[in-house]
Amino acid sequence: MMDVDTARKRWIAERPKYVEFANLVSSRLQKALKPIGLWFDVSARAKEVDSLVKKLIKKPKHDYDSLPDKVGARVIVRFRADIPHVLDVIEKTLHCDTVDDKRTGLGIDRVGYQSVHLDGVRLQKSDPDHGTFPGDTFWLELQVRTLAQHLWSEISHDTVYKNDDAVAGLPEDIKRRVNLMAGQIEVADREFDRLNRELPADEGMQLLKVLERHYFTLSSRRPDAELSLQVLRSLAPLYNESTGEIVQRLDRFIKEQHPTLEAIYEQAAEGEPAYITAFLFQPEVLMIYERLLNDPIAIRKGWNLRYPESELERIANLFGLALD
Amino acid sequence: MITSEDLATVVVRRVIFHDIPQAVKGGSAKPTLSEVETEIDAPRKGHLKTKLIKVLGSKSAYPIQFSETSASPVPGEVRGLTKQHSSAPVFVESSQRLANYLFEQRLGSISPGLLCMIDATANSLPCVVLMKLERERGGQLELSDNQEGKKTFALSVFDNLVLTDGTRLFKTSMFVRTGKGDDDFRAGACDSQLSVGSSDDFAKFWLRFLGCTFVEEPRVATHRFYESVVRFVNKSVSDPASKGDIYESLQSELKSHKKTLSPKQFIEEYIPEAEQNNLREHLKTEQVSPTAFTKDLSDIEKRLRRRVYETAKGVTVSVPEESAELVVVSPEQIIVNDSVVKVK
Repeated sequence: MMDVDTARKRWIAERPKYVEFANLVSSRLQKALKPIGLWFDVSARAKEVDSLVKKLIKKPKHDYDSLPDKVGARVIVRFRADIPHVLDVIEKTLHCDTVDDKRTGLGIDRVGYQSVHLDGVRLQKSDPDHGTFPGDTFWLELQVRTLAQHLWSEISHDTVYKNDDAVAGLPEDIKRRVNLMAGQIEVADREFDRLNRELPADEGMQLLKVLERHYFTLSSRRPDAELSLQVLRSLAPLYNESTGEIVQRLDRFIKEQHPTLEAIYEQAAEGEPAYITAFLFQPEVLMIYERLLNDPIAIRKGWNLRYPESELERIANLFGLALD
Repeated sequence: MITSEDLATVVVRRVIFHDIPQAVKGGSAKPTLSEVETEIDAPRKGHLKTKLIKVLGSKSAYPIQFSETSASPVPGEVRGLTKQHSSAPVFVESSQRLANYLFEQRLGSISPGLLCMIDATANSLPCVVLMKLERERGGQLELSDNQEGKKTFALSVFDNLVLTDGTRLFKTSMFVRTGKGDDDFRAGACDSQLSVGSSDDFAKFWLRFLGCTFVEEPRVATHRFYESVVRFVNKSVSDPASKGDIYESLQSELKSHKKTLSPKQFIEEYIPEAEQNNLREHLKTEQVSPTAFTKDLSDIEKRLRRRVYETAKGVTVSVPEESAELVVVSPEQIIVNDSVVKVK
């Protein structure tokens, strides 16, 4: 029988170090995933003391040392197609004992919880912090999932249909309804993925996709896509160029400016809200920056037709430019 | 020139103000000096940064460089402060010396105001900002004691002078250290009241106080340096061999792949020791700065070009294109109408 009191005492004493480990892994993942240019959300936490005790009571086969998820981390992405890119980066950044794709485990005729679980995730031996957080003591369980899969996981977390064992004991009709719900969520997940690939792309949408790819290398804050499209559609004609030419120009410009942009975003994230433009967390701000440098008169004219000049000035100031 | 990247990434570390009254002959006014930096919070730092962007990022801003001939302590203080992150006492003492120096200049036409010095980083590089903020003529601003009993200006002074959008700004300059050398700086300035070169008052302020000059266009700086050295060689160097050597060194230095040319270094490396001081004096007389400049050959390209003749028996004659008339070529012979000064 597990001595939960001893475990509780040990966890109270050791938890602060595991909190540090969780924060370190979170920042490692943030840094490594940014260059992919996809939206993602990373979180990592060390279990609360009561959660650890509950887990040990619930899973008597584990003791304090063997418990696999004293620390847990999660990466959420928007689309199923994003998952392989994220896994690729994670496996290059951290050591993982096993990768368990829950989608595969369901086979062809079952529905339910879908995520990729990476177990025994540790710092690589070459990591400068491996000495502080050695792999034989500090590891975590990492889940990678889409927003839709996260919805299922979260909503089912506090209910009886959390796992197969719980569902097995339910009346047939309830079981069927649970499965139907899981199926609906999977259909939605797959459809969002397909729609993202198949949506007809007008100029604004094409530009948004390109700019988003760059923007997500700088910030994980989700932008207001409706505003992005409105602004891009109104400013794209300022180029007098084909969409392909604009895309090439923006790609080149943003790559050249990337080190500076990184420094600006790093500072601005901690900046005073009173001086930060509302467009800081909008991908189109990168295009506005390009125009401010290369055709300031045209952007000013185009902008002022629809939007407040004071906001354009804030954008200019963000990038160290004065509107005079 | 200060870049937009510099301005976008400015992080203000320390700020100090000193009140500089108008210096009047025989008057007893003295600068009111802060003993400690003014502790400003994040919103005020944000506002200060925005002000700097609006001034130094404007079209009225222009590049400056340290003047070799100025007696101003500013270049030395800026070089010292940006060599490594300075401690608070070093920063305070340095700013006090500059405040006293500004006052001592007795620039009667410069209105009273506050000298603000900022210790900052731009693009993670150490930088110093100097601003002169105007205040109403009349009484001096009062200092108050901070928690440790040291004199400093209250935050309300900062708020009135910097945060008020109506404040007449001022004279501003920024120096970003880009390397270890004395001249490894990007520097820019702006005066919100005057346009470049429009006022003697303005020039006095910059030349005397900042110890800076305007940066010449690379094309102009290259042309002026070239012409001045050629004039020196023609008039002052009597030894024909030395003449040839200096001229060749000048040509090869200008044509080299190096992006910049340092007159100071050129003199040390290529001019015979006996002639070094003469050339330094000559450049000074012709107001050619010994500070390194970016090369741009567009104005002297023709003068650097050479025409090369190769004869049937393997003789090579190379002549500057501008002196091509010295060489007379006929089907049977080639004549050079010049005297031989050196045989290699």
